[in-house]
This record gives sequence, structure tokens and C-alpha cells, in this order.
Amino acid sequence: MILPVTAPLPNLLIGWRRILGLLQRHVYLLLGSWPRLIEVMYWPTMNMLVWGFINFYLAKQLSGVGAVAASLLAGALLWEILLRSQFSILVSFMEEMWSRNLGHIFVAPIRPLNYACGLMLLSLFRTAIAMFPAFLFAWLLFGYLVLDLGPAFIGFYLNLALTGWWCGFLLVALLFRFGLAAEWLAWMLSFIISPFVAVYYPVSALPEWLHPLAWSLPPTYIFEGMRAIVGQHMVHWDYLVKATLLNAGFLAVSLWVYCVAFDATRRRGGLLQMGE
Amino acid sequence: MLSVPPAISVRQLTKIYDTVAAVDGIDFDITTGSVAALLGGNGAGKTTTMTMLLGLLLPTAGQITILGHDFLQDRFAALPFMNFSSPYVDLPNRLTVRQNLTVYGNFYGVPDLKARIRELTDELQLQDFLDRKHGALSAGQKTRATLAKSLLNRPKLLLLDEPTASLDPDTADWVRSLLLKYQRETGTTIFMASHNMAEVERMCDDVIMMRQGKIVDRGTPAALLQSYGHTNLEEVFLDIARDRTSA
Repeated sequence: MILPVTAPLPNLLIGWRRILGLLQRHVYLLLGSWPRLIEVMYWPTMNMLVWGFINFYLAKQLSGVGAVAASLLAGALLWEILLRSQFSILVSFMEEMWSRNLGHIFVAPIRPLNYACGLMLLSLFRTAIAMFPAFLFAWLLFGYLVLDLGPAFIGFYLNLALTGWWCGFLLVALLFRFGLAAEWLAWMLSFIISPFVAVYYPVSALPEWLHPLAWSLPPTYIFEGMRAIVGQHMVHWDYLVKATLLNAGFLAVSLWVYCVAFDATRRRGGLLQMGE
Repeated sequence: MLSVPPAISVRQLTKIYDTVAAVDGIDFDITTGSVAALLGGNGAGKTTTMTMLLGLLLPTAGQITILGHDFLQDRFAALPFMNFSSPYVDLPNRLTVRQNLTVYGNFYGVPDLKARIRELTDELQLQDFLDRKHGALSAGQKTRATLAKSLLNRPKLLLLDEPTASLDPDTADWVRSLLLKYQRETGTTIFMASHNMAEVERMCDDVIMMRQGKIVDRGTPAALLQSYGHTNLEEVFLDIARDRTSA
């Protein structure tokens, strides 16, 4: 007797359930392990503490540096949003490699772009968990409330998450190509844009010949926009628009590179063996 | 009467790594509802063939049709109706069996997932370790958990890689009985790679023998035994692996 196979659900619903499944897999992992959960929250909070005390010290020692000091702390917090979004993509992918689970995932009807959507949603979740204590302690200890950046903060947050995603997908493509042999390279490359995007200093502090590079990277507009709010109480909405457009372009390119790397891995037969 | 198309149809399937042909222009059909095995020594091309049938490896040339769908053009039309189990590809070790089944049930869009997990828990006797982490299970328990994952979507085609590797004889026998019962009840096509000749003899009605990337023989276990003049498939396997011709 041949029984009916699984009754098909509407395609759109199934697509969302696949993405939900990916999210669920990592939420189970994270919430089932308190050391992992602490690790997620630990670094942004520590970084905020260091920059908060520097801010405090500068404000006490030097007069007229209030805005500069405040922008240092804001820069540190915003940079953590970018970094945590990127690490979330990278670590979630590495988790599958460490557990040699990529074979099972891609034998299931999960398209590479389903998987990418799952990673992005997961990144929003992990970054929110990571940043909440840092924002809270910045407010409680140093009286610095990120929401004081106003509605632009939502735009800053989303744009930095977008940058984290496209950086993350380029690193995932690198891991597809070279496997875990490139793990340390991926960690190192995570910081490669940090000197050029004006996190702690304005673009004008960079040598002239680096300015075109700095302005070609979306986070530069976010950090300069943040400094304009902190220093001049002025919101540069045009910066947000430019950052969003650049991020959309970079994200599209990074997803294309990720898909090409995925197909190249399928051609080599690396998906089943990929792992430790 | 309408003829049922084969569950798997492979034409001139080839995989070349650099200059080495791991699979060298093979053709075969697997009848819908049959239990078939792919046999061969190490390096014969079994794993490469299986991996291409799973969509994890792109062939250099050839065609694969699975459940009537052109698998190389649109594998996502067939993948929801297939599944796979291998002792060499782990499920996430830090998730419990229940969590893994929930995650994979969502990947396959299984309706009424909780009921399906309950059903599989009973069928595969997972009750005692359903809420234990996969990494803490014994080899036999892991095999049962992975099999449960592979049956979640009631696949029309089940691909198995050495389904009883590293199991004690009692557990291995239990797994074989379970698979055969499941196959009889559902009409699922099972295609497996195995090194266990007794298992193949007991379970399969079609055996494909490979050597150096080519299919060198094929038939029912009984027909192969008769053709090679042996009393068990192990001796047939040795003849083929050592390039001795049939009687």
C-alpha cells in the first residue's frame, strides 16, 4: 500500500517554516547553554565599560572634550552592533561546520537564500541579546542613553546590521572555499574595515588618499552621522540614505559571491565533508 | 495499465576530479517501491554517486531524474520527497533528539509536526532519550535518532549510507526489520550503500556492483549468487572487487 506523502503546505508558508527551523536550531543551542549566552553578551559590555571609563577620564581631565568623549562611547557601542551582526552570521555558519551538519541541512529542501535569510534573522536576534546589557549599563553607569540619538538610531542600527551581514556573507564564502582552514583568517578579516570607517575619529583624521575608500564604505556615513548628532545636534538624513543604498548594493554583491561559493563547493563535493 | 516511472534514473553520470573519473558514465534506473543497493570496494564510486543523488555534489556530465524531476535543473522539486541517513553525517550534538526532529520537521514543512514526532518516537522507540542531547547518545541511539529524522517527511525516496554501520548485531537486525516494515507499509523506495553483504542479501531486491567508477554487474542477490556460483554475496563482492569474472 502506498500512503500519501507529506501533504504540501503552501510554498510561502513552507519557505518561512524553513527559515524558522534555522532560527530555532540556533535559539535552542544558545538558550540551552548559559556559557554561550554569557559569551554573546560579555564582549559588547566589556568594550562599553572600557570606552565608558575613557570617556569619563577625558571629561574629567580636559575641558571642552565632552562631545568628543561622548562620541567615543557612542562609536564603541555602534561598532559593536556591526561586529556582533557580522559575528552572528560567521559563528552560526561555523557551528554547522563544527557539528558537520551542513550535509543534512542542504539535503533538506533549503535553498542557499533560505539559509541566508535564516542567518540574517538569527543575527538580529543574537545582536539584540548581545547589545541590550551594553546599552543598559551605558545608561546606568555613564548616563549615556543610545536612544538620545533620536529616531536616527533605528536607521543607524539597521544599517550597521546590514553591513555586518554583507561582511559576514563574504566571510562565509571564504569558509565555503577554504573550509575551517580559513577560520582564523575569517576572524582576522572581521576587523579589516574598522580603521577606515571613522568609528572613533572623523574621516578628516585619515590621510587624504584614504578618504575615497572611507566614503565608499556605508558605516562611515553612520559614524559621521552619529558624530554630527552628538557634536552639533544635527541629523544628516542624507547620510542615512547613502549608507542604505551602499549597503543594499554591498549585500546584493555579497549574496551573489556566497551563492557562487556554494555552487563551487557543490562542484568540489565539499558540503558532506566540511567540518572538523 | 500505466507504468510507474523509476524513482531514480541516471544517464551517463560522470564525475571527474582533475583527471580521475570517480564515476565514469554510468546508467541505471531504480524501480519505484524497490529496495536497491550500491556495492563496491573503497574508491569504487559509491559515495560519489550517492552524493550526486543527494544534490550535494554536481556531476561533470550526465543526467539525474528523481521522482520524475530533472534533479540537476530543479532539485528543490524532488528534495521535499526525499530524505537521507548516514552514521557519518551527524545531527547537531548539542541539541536534544526532540529539538533536532522539530528543527528538521520545519525544514521539511511537516504538517502536525508534534504528532509526527510522537509517531516516530513510538515506531523507533525513542522515548528513553528523546530529551537527551544527540552528542550524549550511544551509537545505536544515534542511528535511531538519525533514522527518525530521515522518516520525518514520509519520504518517497530514502537514501541510506551504511544504515547499520557501527551497530551491534542485535540493534542492526532491529534497524533492518524496521526499515523493511516501513518500506512494506509505505511503498517507499530505498536506495542504500552498504558494505554489509548479509544486510544487502536480506533487504535488497536489486544490487548494483561498482568498480573504478563503473557499473560492473547488476541483479537480484539470488541472480548474482547463481551467476558467480557462490553461496553468499560476500564472495561475489570479492570476485568483483578483485576483477574475477562470473562463472
